[in-house]
Amino acid sequence: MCLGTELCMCVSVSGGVDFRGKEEYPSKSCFRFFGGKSHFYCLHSTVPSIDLTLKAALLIQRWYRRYCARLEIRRRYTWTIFQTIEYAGEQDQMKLYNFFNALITHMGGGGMNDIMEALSPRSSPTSDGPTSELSMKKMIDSNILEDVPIEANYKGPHLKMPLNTDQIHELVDSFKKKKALHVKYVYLILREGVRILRQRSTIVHISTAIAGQITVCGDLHGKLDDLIMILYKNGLPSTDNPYLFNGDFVDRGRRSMEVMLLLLALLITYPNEFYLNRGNHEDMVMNARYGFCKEISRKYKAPHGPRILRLLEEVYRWLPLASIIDNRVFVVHGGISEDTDLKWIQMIDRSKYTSLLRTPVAHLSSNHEGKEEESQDEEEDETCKEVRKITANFEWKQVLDLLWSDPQSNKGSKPNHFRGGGSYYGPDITQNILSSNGLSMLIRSHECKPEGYEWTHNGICLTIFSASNYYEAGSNRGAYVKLIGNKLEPHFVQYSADSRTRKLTIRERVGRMETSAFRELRGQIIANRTKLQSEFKKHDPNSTGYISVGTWVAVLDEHSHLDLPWRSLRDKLVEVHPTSDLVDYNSTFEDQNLTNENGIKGGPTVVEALYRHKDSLETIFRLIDKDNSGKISMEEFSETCELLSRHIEVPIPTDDIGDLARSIDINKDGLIDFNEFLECFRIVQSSQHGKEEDEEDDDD
Amino acid sequence: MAKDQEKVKFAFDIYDFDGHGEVDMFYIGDLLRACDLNPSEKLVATFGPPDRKGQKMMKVADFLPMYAAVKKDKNKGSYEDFVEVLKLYDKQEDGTMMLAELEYILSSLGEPMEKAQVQTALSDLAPEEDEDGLIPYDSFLKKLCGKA
Repeated sequence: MCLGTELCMCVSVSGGVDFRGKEEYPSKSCFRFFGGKSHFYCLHSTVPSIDLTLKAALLIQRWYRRYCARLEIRRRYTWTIFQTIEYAGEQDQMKLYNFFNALITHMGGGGMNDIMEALSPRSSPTSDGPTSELSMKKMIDSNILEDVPIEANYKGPHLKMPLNTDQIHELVDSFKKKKALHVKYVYLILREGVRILRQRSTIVHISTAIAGQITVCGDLHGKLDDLIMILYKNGLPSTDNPYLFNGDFVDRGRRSMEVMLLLLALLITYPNEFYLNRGNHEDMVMNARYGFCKEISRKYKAPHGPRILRLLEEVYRWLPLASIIDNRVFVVHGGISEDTDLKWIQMIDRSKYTSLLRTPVAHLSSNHEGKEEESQDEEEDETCKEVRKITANFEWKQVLDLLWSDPQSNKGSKPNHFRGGGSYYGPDITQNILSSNGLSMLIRSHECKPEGYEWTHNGICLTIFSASNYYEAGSNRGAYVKLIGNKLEPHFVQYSADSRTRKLTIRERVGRMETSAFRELRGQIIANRTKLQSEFKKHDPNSTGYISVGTWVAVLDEHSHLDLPWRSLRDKLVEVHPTSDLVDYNSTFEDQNLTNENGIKGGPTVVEALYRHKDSLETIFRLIDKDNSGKISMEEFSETCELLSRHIEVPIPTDDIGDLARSIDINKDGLIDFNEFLECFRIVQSSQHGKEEDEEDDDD
Repeated sequence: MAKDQEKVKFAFDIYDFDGHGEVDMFYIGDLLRACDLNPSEKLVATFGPPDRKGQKMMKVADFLPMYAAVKKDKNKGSYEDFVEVLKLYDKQEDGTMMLAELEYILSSLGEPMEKAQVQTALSDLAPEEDEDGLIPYDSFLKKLCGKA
């Protein structure tokens, strides 16, 4: 029983409402106060003024809000770092391909015939014999590929047409247990998938008349856990539960194969309730750089690897480019531009775009029979040729825009320099394109968002992204949107597929992200070390080791090729003298070095150039590697380095690199394992002889 | 002063999502706090933030006087103020208080925070309560006031 006065804040033992009639006082604390004592006593034996209590509350709340805001700022600039590096990589890819296309158009080989062959549109990145339409037809329409014996110790699922729900469950279960699907069934799924996709239009019309709703998902990027999470939360497809996946199923994540197989299996099992749009990563040239090719070469050995790649190419070129739901909602992977013409796109022969990075001239002159395009009408005059070229270019731009564009807040439309492909489109563009086609909303993906989704353009453009923890554990949630009812009202479901991150506090999550982002950033800086260091030194004639902050910032701005707020990030990147405005520029490199254990002559410039362009090198390697074995010949290797050196305008002494390569060719069979070669380029802490953590190898 | 200006510019640039030199007034509270100030919600309200995004924008020039005004506010609250105030809840005079009381204070008094926010705050900052439900508030305060 309380002794209290009217200012007492006691409440009854059972909990209940405080004296002001407000918030229920947590009875837990009441119990604790009262429990264990032989008599009851008032919560506050002295009576503090209300003022002081309020002061306490306000103080803590103010400081806590400040704490949150500061975490938020850190989160935001960390995000900027990740995104800037990501897009810089994409830009690189585009530049590389522009370089190839220019070479092909203007010089047709010039002594690098093998590579030119490999990169030219007439051949596919992989081939296992003559690439003719006939043999592809055979691969798809007969089950010649599936004539593969199954080993006795194969414990995975056995699939048989027609696929049904039980088999889907089996498939998901075995993927969860990290069992690889037997290649026989991989072929089955890929083939049947192509057969279904072939029948669909370029822009697919979906109706929710029967189901009354539809679920739209964004990028998955090889993250199987997220796909399984979605199916778990939202159920398998059915007449009442249709799905549309908006592209970028593969690359970057380590289980792209499983994601692709599962999506296609769902397509095959529920063809009337399952839809797929093509993303910019459904493209073999992107896969060569961003990890899917690598994953396949690891999981499936010859002769299957190349065949699977070939089949995947078929899947890609037959994927629809966009979908329209109930004639109201336009769903496409990237977006649009002012030139987007849906009627024209509907009539395009989308199957000729095996890869979007090859120019239309290439597409013009390629046909799948592999015949030379000289069978053109002799009478076709220059004007006709020009017109065809212009039309082809325009069509290509349309397709590129659909899969590569990003929304912007400014009005109008302009080329997307950040990524190197597609356009930026403003709210007016969205409004125009939607209205002129009688549509009311644009749903797209392509960009990672912290909450898994984001509205722009005053609520008519929605970005949906389904790969949680994309940049780093804890970086972002994934989401999917359900469009429900007559009005297709959007309802969002967010999730994080990484159970570890859910247990982390926000502060820990931001901390991890930051560490990771800065590690990547340092990698980029080290890759430019020689140049940066020489520039720094230029401003330090007396070799004091110090330069002004302004100079440091200016040098990085100009030579790092990354558009970041260097001035504000300096405390994290370099030693700043406490009182003067000077920076110890050598500390930018924090004692880290690229390994050069095998002593590539030509020095650090060459090593750094190779490290900086590692991804481009790898892309070229994988495209040349016809049997997807991870090995190429010495000549191909030399040609690759020569090609790269032309592209980046840094002379790469092929003899020396050749020596290095030969030293890796341990079994002296004249073939180089380029995975091993690329491993030579690592960042090492010179003082600690430690290694930068490479991405953990997949454990399957 | 120069360091301050840098901090302000950095924070402003981060919230300037489109790179036009403007920040949505909706974020004025977050922005002020990102600049290391800790205004009360009441103070933030005096700047007239809109209740939705996309309604009102401000340039750096508009923001700086707001920053200056808040910075001047003497009523900042220091670590010592905190300790004085939380001592009231320190029944056993040993530097501990009930976690549940802290929860109550944050969610019901002053400028209350939402339940979810309170949970996050506590899981982020407060140490584990002991079997009597007590926590040492010192470490809580240190984290709260320390470098984020």
